[in-house]
Order: sequence, then C-alpha cells, then structure tokens
Amino acid sequence: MRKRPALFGAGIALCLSSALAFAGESAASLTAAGIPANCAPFAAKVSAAEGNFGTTNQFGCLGAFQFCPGTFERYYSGSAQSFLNDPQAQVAAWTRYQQNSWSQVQKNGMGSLVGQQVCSGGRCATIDQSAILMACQFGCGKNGKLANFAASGDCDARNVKDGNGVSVCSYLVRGAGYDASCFTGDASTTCTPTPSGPGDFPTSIGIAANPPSSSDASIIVRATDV
Amino acid sequence: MRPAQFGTLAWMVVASAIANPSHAAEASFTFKASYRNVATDPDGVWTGDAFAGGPVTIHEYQLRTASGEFLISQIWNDDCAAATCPTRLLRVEPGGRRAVLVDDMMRQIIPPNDPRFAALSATGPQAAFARSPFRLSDDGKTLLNGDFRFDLGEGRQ
Repeated sequence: MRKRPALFGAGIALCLSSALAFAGESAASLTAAGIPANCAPFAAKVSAAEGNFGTTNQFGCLGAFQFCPGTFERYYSGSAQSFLNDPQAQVAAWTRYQQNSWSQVQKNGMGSLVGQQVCSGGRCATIDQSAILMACQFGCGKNGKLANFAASGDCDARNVKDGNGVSVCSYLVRGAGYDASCFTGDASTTCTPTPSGPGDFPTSIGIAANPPSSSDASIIVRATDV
Repeated sequence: MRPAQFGTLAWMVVASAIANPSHAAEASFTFKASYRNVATDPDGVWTGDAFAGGPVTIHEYQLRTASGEFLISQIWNDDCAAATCPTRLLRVEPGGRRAVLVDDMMRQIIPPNDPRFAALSATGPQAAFARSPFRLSDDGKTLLNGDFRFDLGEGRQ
C-alpha cells in the first residue's frame, strides 16, 4: 500500500487557491471567438464556473469550458497547448459538445423536463433548454444525474448529486433563462419579460444588451447631464 | 523561538493540515491498462448500452490491499460529461468473482500513456492527480477521486 506524505498537499493547496480565482471569459470575448451574440450570455455563464482560455485546472481540464482529457480527446485533435492558445478552437469544440449534449437530451427523453419547476438552494426556476444544457455538465446519458432527476423528480436523492454532494438541480436553476438556441437549433424558449414601465427591465439579461427606447423611458440621462 | 519564526511554523502546520487532512494513510490505485477504440470491454466490466455510441476508450486502475483486490474501470463514451465519465469500482475476490461497489460519474483521469498530456502529468498540480486519480480511504469505506468522495456499497455481482 503506497502512503502519501502529510505535507504533500501544501503545494497543491496553493495551486488550488489560484485555480479558484477563475473569472471565466466574458460574453464579448466569447463572441469574438465565434459564439453567436445571442448565445454569448449563456456561454459566459458556463465559462464563469470553469475557466479562461488559457486555464488548466488541477485535474488537467483545459480552457474556458474546462475540457477534461476524455472530452478533449473527443473534440480536439491537436495538443493541449495548441488548444489553450486557440480561443476559436475552444468555442468550436464547445459548440459541437453542446449540440451533441442536446442530441443526448432528446434521445434520452429529458427534453420533457422543459417547463417544469425546479427549486434548489432556496431558488426556483422554470426548466428551459439552457437549464438542461447547464445540467448536462453532470452528464446527459441515460444513467446520468439528469436522467435520474427526470425519473425521480427528487433534487435531494443521492443519485442526482455529484461526488461533492452537489445536486444537478442547482445547475438547472443556475442555467435557466438564457438563449441556447445556437446549440439546440430551436427558437429560444427563454421567457424574457416585456418591459411595461420603469424598473421592469430584467437584470438577468443585462440592461446594456436590452436598452429601452427613449419613448419607453421615464427618465432620460444624456451625456451632457453627467 | 522568535514570534516571526513561530508564525512561519504555525502557518506551515495550519496550511498542511487544511490542504491535506487525510492523505497520510490513503492507498492509491495504480494504472493497469488502457483499451482504446474498442467495441467491447476485454475485461467485461462494461457491456451493452455502454457501447451504443460506437467505439470507446476504457482506462483501468488497480489496488491490492490486505483486505482484497480492487479494480477501477472508467469508460470514455457518449455518457461522459465535460469533466466526468461513468466509472466503476469493483472488488475482485480470490476466485475471480467481482462485485461492483461504486457505479458513478467520476472525474476523467489524465491518461499516463497519452503524449498530448505528457506535460500535464509530469509537472504542476496536475501531476498529483495524474499519478493518483483514485484513492481508498484508510478505513476502506470511501473512494476518493480528486475532490469527489464515494461511499463503498455492499456490492452487487
């Protein structure tokens, strides 16, 4: 039996602390690398929990979407370093990965989750396509966590949680409300509220991306007023 | 001892305790084999639907302890997520009978025999995970896979 020295992890801890500092790529940088603008907020949401274009984590997972070795092998034929140096290749690989994930979702009957309510960590959401794709980070296979949730509807069951005890439901909630039509091929099922008055512009999609027209606005601040 | 020396020593003790509270007595699995681009599992751990998407890659690790022999098999197939793949821990009994103790999605290993990952597995924080992606807790009740933990079940044939 091979024993590991107690001080072994000190260096790893320091490296982990830097790995935890990932901020992810912005929607703008992902768009520049090839993600359509309408799907860039979803891509940025995923990347925020993963890494940057040049990131390698402690498990050997690469880039803005953290392609781990098995996934990397399937979606990219070059070296790890060339992948890290190529944002366009990362975006192209991730787009194919998302498209294949959606095919898995449909093949395994998990598309029926769309429209259902899910609650996790004190937050609730209506499951849509982006929620499902986010949850596919737990796997979209017929024996995966999302399939287990689709079968049981129980967010607290052991078989819907990963090895850290994180429920797939937390990812369903986190991913809801984004346009993922670039990957699903369907028109967006995202429910974007229609502004009807001051303060009604949704914060989840960013007011800068959806500015009200001047005729809708109650208060107009011009550059000369600042 | 001066305050500065004491502070440095205390930091080292605390840092190592936080970073690695239980590794001292864990047993690491060692790499056994990889089967690339196969349509069936030479060791019979995976069958049927696991191959529905076409040829797969299977990586195996093993551990021999006083309490028995263990085999881990990870399959890289359509059911993988970006970071995890279906993985099984089996106890191998002296007569060759095997019981599945854990069947779950686990972190993808860093292949020790793939030149594209040679740099990752040789240096840096990835090296530790590349060497020991799977460990068994000292009490033999928990499988450790990076930051993931899995309780060992009673086993099914």
